[in-house]
Amino acid sequence: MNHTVLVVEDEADLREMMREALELNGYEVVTAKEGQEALEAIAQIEHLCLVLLDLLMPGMNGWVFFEKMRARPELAGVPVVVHSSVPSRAPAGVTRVLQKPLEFDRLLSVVREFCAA
Amino acid sequence: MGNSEKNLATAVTDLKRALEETKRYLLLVESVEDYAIFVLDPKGYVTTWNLGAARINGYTAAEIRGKHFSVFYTPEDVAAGRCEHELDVAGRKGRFEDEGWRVRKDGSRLWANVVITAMRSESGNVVGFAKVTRDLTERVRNEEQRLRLAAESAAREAKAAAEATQRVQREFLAKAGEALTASSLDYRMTLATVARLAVPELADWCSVELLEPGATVPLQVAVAHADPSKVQYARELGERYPPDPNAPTGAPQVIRSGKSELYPEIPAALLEAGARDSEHLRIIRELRLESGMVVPLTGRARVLGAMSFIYADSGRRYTQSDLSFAEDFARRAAMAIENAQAHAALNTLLEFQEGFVAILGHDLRNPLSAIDMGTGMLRQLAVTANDPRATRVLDRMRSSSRRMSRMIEQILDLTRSRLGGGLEMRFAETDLCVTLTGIVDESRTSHPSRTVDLRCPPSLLGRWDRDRLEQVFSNLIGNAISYGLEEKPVTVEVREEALDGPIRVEVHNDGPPIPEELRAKIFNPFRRGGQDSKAEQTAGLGLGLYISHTIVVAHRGEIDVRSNSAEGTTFRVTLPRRPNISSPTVGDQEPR
Repeated sequence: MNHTVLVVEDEADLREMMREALELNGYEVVTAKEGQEALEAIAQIEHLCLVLLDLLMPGMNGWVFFEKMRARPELAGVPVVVHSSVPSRAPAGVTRVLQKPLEFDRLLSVVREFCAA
Repeated sequence: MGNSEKNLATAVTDLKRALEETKRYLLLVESVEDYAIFVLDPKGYVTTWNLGAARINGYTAAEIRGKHFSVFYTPEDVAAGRCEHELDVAGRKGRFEDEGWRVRKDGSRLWANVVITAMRSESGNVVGFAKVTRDLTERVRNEEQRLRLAAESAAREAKAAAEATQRVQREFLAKAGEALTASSLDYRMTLATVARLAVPELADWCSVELLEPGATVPLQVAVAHADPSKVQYARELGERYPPDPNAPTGAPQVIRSGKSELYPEIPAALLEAGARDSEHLRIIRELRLESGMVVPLTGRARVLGAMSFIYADSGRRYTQSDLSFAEDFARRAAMAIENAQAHAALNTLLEFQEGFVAILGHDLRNPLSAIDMGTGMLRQLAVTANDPRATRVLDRMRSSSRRMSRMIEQILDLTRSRLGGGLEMRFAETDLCVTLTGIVDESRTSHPSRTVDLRCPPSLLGRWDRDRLEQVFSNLIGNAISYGLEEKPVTVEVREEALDGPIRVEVHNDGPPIPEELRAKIFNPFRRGGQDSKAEQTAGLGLGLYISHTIVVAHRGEIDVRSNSAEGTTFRVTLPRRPNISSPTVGDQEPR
């Protein structure tokens, strides 16, 4: 089972806190602050198990990122969990939707489903 | 021949000559055709007749001789004693002259100039009257015709002018009305457009003064003249000589009184009174302001401003009907201004609300996520390090941040239900008992010392918004735990009224009842239960029951409360199985 999580989140505090929380629990974490950066990073990740995706971001937003990601056949099987303050507007086809504010326990339990620590 | 013979012969010759002269004279009189000349005896009977008389009056000499001259008069004149009056005047004054309608033999009328002259004997007695009549019918007819034509042409011109005015007014109303409704946001620009539309047809000068809310001095927001250089000149003049806000006439006064002013002719004294100095007066005189009117822009609650129309050197004058038109239009303009002001205020409010919802919905949630994430992580470390105090503190921090997060959700719900697009509802096939079991399990976990009993059939399906009902029953069960007696259980009982009929859920706790005065408004926002210490721990914003009520109503259901010291407190929610709702959101406005 793969163990690297890609966290796409524009707010630095939350992004780094997610990294700390996941790393503490044995996962590898790559972060990006918007979609374009995430698209560039995602090609370099070897054992990608999950993308944690924010929707409202300056630069490339979560919707565009998801569309571009899904257009790449090699990434088609990667689960995408959206965390957003507007969960009802999550794009169709995402694996799961988490309502912000994100809770530590809920985040961990979702990551545990898809990734090996 | 003796002297006497000679004298007699001379006298005879003289007499013959005189007779000849008289004959010639009579011949002259008889042959005059343009004048009726004849003699009346002292009582008014015709004694002589001439050709003119025959032509004008239609009688031959034989027919008329011996007839009274009243036959020439209309029956009304005869009845009024006109004939006697004329002879009387002529007898006393020697002469009577008159113009009027007379009657011909055939009954037709003629317009005659009549002169009656008294003929006196040497002793001074009236022996008859000479009557000279001129037929002026043709002239009068021509004059009448001319007058009639003139009147008709004047009427046509007046009608054309009135129609032109109406057309101009209609065009102005159409264009100005369009301007007023189209650009409803910037009403100052709209008023400038309206003023421009008024010139030059309805005014040589048009200006609009507005008294903005809270201002004491009206402000000129528009001034228009067909010639832009004159507008510039007027602006400069206004800066050099700012209008006196306390002037007894003009826009400031109209705004104060709400009453129109109409000056068909602007009196020189008025201009003089308005001038600040001789230079100002010279400039004002040069503008040649001749006629004017000022009408109030009357809103619902106050006079918003005034509109002034002035005719300068175009020679036109304002009338009462122009004033009525201007007043009518000003009322419409005032309404548009108020609508625009209300619209602007509403837009500001909506923008504020949008910003507010965005901040609540997005910007506040991220830091809370970071805090929850951090406390969760630190708690994990504290547990690993076996540090119970740190664990307790971090538990408190986490429950505080989650409470804050719930409050944000509540404020968002309140904002949406009260101001914006309404609560978002997603109806789907839902098992209410599964939902309630989840909530009850969760509350047992977070309150291990308390007993929560759930009585529910194995399955209870309906078309509801599961997340929203979760909100309702989490709130009711949470309240029951907070306010109920510690040693008594909280019960949640679900009943079907009939097969496939409405569902009734009762959430009950024992304990002190909800005070009467609070019960009446318990579903209002920003209310909450007692101030005891237990309630304080879970105290929120007092929005929970308000939102629960909103959600239940959105399901076409009902929620009520029964509370007394004997039975404790029971909240009862009744939900139809499949509320007939097509709209996904519920609220006062369109979904956005």
